[in-house]
Amino acid sequence: MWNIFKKDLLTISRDRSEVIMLLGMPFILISILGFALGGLIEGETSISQIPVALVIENDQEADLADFEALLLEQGIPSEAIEEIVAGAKGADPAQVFLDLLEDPELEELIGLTTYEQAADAAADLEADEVVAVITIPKQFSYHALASIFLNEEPESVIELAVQDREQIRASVIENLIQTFTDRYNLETSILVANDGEPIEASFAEQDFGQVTTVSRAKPVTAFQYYTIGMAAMFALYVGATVSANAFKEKDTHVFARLIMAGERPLRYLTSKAIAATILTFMQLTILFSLSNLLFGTFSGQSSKYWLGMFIITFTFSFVIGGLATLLTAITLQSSQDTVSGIFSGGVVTILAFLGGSFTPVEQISPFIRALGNWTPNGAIMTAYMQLIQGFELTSIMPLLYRVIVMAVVLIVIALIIFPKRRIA
Amino acid sequence: MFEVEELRKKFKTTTAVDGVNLYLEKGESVGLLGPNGAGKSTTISMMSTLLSPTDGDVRYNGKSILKQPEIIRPVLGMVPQEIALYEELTALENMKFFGRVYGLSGKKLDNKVAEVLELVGLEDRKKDKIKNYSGGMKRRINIAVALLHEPEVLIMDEPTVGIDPQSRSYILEMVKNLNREKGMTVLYTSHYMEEVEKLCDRIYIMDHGQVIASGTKSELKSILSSEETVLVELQQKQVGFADQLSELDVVQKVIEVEQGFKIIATKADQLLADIFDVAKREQVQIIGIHVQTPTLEDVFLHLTGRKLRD
Repeated sequence: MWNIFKKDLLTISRDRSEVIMLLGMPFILISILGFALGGLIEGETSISQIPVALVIENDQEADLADFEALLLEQGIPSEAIEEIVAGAKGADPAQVFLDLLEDPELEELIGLTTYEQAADAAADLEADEVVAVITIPKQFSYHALASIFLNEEPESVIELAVQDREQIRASVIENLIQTFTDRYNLETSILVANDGEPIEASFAEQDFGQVTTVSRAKPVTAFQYYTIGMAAMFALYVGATVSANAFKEKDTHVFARLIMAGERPLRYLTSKAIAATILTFMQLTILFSLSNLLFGTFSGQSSKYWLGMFIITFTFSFVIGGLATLLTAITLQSSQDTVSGIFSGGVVTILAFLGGSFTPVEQISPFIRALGNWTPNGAIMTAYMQLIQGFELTSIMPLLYRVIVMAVVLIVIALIIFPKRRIA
Repeated sequence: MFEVEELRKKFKTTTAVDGVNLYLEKGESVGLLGPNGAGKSTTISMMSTLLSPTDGDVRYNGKSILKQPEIIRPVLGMVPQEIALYEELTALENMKFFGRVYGLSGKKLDNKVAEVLELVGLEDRKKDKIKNYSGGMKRRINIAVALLHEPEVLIMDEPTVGIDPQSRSYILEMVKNLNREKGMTVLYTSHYMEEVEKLCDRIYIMDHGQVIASGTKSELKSILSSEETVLVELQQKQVGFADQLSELDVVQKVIEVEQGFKIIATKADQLLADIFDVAKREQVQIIGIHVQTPTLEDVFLHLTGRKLRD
């Protein structure tokens, strides 16, 4: 059996078109789809730290003094002025905004650099050094406080200049400021309605467009999804390749020679099953390793995770072994390679679609997802995804049992139709 | 030693082999001669247990091998007409792979592979892939694989098809040595008359699924002992000349050949004189006339009215 496996490995590895089909194509597709369809799969925009320039033209101390002077001008009693000023100190929008920007959690998203001169910030924006320039203009605090406490028309706003070329990242900053403004207006309205009692201006992190995951599961990255998806799809081709080789062996009378040399037909079939199982395991291991090495797809995972990967990969390899056995049996029985041609030419694509190799099918229809979970590749994809999302192996096992049953059924059918004698 | 009795193989609409009887004695070299489609390959497929016959029996040392193929397989070396090798593997890898299937391993396998590679003269090319070999070299490795387990009986199905004369000569010499020096029993099928004549002690001639003649070379040629073959070379061939010759009492067959006509006739003193008379009457210029010793080709022609490679 080892002899036939070694021979199959040598012949396949020396056939350039087979190597391209089994390793090259899936890897190219993992790269393309991983980069191109990241946002669709991940349900989040994975953005690196956004460089932002901050220009503070506002002088809070001076503005507060000016605001106090304004209150005196308005003839407001000094006791009331003291209360309003105390409230204004806690509600100064410029300070609240700066506190927000310096929030440690936001620091991961925004790389803030404070500029003395607006012209320098504008030059860096032009040179793509920063994605946006936030300017807190002169007398911003004064006008904002006058607007809040004296109901004057707001005359000053936080200014934002963004790059056209970085629309996604710029929109993050726009959303941030808009959310701040809306939230601040709400908070200050409450403050005023509360007779000037200061309240703490706090902002929940989700208000600022950060990623929120609705389910308890960990998010799956595009590279994880397509590494699994393409591996699950192209592993199916191993079955077709092994059965096509069996046809070639029969067509060139090598099979007859093997039988004459003492190889028993059933042992030959078993060898093909083992060869397909080991080849699939090797193919998947190479694809996962390459993806991890180049894209960090599975980096930082625990040993428990890798044990799960091993068990799922082995189960998948086993069912591909069963599939190869059935295709080989049909090929040798019919003396035609039509079946492996039809399988690789059409059935693989259908199975890959149902299994979710191209796109998460649950987004299309729950029925297709359910149907896909009854295909070997679909069930295995779900198992891999659940493992990545942090599910316990015990909750994945029912899917694996299902795949093992599928493998056994495929092998039994193969044995029923396999000609036991004189098939050379 | 090896007997075939009333062997028949019917496919859906045709009968490929129809009641063939033949036998091989130990150490004999036997030829199975016949044109393409005569049923030779089907016969040897049944003899090597790769195909079940519709009827009849195949016995080795008195035991039927149809139900017990394990009797014959360990002692049979089968050289198929096709190059039954892995093209992507080297000659050495192919030999070692098949050697292991035969149950050889370790030093014994290495020694046997080296010995057989030397026998077929490809030791210096053993690390080349089969796909890079010439047709003749492929044929030699194809034979080598069948010799790995030192078979007692070697069945060769057209082993020299499509190769250069040098490789053919090498293969024929090799088979001759295997038979004469190692005492290997050989069944050699071919539609090349000269190969069978050179190699074989006895010959079976097959056509349309049946054995139409058998015996030693001299026995077969004696079929034509009362006849002679005359090759008449003409300046220009004329159909009228052939028709006139066919009407002669002693002439049995007139076959058009490239340079003129071949005449098979009962031995008679006046045959040459009659041929010249007809030529004179038909105003045909004879540029050469050869009286030939009968060949197996002539025997086949006589028996079937067709040439072997028609």
